[in-house]
Amino acid sequence: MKRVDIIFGIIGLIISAYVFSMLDSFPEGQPGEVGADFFPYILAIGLGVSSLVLIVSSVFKKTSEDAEPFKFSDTGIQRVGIALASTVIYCLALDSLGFIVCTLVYLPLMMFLLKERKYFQMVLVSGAITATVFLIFSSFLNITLPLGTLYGY
Amino acid sequence: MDIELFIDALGEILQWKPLIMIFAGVAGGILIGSLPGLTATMGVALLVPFTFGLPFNESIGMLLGIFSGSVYGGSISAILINTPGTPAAAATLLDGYPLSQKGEAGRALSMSVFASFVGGFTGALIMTFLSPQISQFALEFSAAEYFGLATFGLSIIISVSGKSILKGIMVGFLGLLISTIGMDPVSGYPRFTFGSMNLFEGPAFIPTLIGLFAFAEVFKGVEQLTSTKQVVSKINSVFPSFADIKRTWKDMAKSSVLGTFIGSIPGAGSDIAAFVGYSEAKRRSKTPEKFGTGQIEGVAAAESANNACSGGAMIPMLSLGVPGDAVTAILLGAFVIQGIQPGPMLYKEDLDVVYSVFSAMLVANIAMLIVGFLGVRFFARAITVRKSILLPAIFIMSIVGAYSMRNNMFDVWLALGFGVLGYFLQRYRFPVSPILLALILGPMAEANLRRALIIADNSMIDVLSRPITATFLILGLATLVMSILRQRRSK
Repeated sequence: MKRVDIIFGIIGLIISAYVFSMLDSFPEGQPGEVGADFFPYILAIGLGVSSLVLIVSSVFKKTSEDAEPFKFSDTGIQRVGIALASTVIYCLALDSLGFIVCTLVYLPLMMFLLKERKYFQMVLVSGAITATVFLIFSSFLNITLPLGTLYGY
Repeated sequence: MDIELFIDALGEILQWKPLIMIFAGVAGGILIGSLPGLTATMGVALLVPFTFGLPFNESIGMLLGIFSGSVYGGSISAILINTPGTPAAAATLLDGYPLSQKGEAGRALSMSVFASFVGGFTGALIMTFLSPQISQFALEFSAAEYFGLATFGLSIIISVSGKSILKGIMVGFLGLLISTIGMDPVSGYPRFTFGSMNLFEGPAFIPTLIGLFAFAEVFKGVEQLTSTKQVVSKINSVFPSFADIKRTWKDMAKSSVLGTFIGSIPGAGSDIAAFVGYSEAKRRSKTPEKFGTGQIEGVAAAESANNACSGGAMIPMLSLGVPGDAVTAILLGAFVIQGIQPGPMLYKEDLDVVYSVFSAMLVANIAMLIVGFLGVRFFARAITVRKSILLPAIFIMSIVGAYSMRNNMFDVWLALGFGVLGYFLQRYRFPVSPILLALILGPMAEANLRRALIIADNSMIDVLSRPITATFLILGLATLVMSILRQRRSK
């Protein structure tokens, strides 16, 4: 029995059930006409059936190995969690603090998280990356990155 | 073929601005391709945002430069540190790494650049002459045939994408469901948009693929952080010797044609092409037992095959609008952003555009040869960049890339969301690329089926029984059944 596959199967079933529940609100077409709900309907059946097959086949599978168990105590998983959280905070702060400040703080912190300990290099590289990305996008590609509403931009 | 128009298009590409972009794209592509863990798909995904604001010729030049460069780049780390930069380079390391252990890294690297050029150029040439013929045939397709073609494309891609076909099918359905988000192609009714205006046109393509292929990859890198010190071999010469070229040209020629052919089959990627080319060279060799111990033929065959594959994969993408693999799917998306819809109509109405693509592809391969020779020492140093520096930089590139599409934070959140999804899917051995291909082929299948049904007065049987449509559908079904049977047998 593979626990992970069963979990994925259940998620698949939930998604297909959700799609079915939404289809009721779709506008009715002419009788016999194929409308906006037709494709999602077929796809939801497909996803549901393949999820069920995955669940059933994992229940009867003799092997018990889960690919790589997902444990919150694993330092790798913790790192991913911290990286994701920092990225979310970075994105939240981007509008008000602006690209330059956010990136100058974010990059060294991420490098530290990934066990970089050469501090001088860290600061230097962070500065270089921030400047390069900002210059390429704003002057070369004419894409304005957030400058920071906090400073009145 | 309209030679005059082709020469005009080539002249346009050979202006200094498109040329700079091609060289920049090639250099960027080689750099990302050579970094272990960064695949060609990810490279193209990360660099595509740089092409948005550019005029067509420059943008197309840069895109094709990135594409060609990234496939070659993988061989650098394969040869120098025994780690393929991209899956396509896995066959290159079989003989490439032993060569560099013998102190002949320079010989292997220069041969790999040369073979990549031969393969890439041959592939591009075959594409130039073959794809117009295919588009000619496809001009007779109506909506019903396109529905069949899209369905066939999906089935073949799902069936080769990973160890478990069931998981591939599941992810394929999920991707197709994601592709129905947004306004219905016929009635305009907004589906699954959760009331958000940002989803009216569906999840934006570039942020989605940055999420699936860049964010997901860096999350994986963050989890499996290893800090082994890499020893890079010394590079002696950067040009291949005449004797080596003479020794390998037959293998290169064969691999180039084989690679193009394999690339043109949707679903068969450059990694498969490289291994087929390699084993063909081994079979033909008088000393097959020496393969794996540092035979220059092995490097030449593998590299010319996987680069030829790029040209091959462009054939169905350009002439039918059906991408051959994940990278060409991204290219297709980027073309659409530039206002170009690949498919037979493109050949009929915008032949100059098609010729620009051909020219850019040919020039990109020449640029790859030049950048490869001149820059090999630089790229050899770049591959030792520590993950702790590289991954944060990719995070920033991904965020900015997702943002730059519409100057919109929503797209960044979308990319992050898809990144988390991709990370978990990958971690539990679900293939990710079916989602990307479903995003392209799903709307194609749905819109064409619905259009065909309107024409046929809602008679499903009339639509499905059209000869070409039925053939595609049966082929698709057969592909799935055959791969399920093959999987059972291998267990």
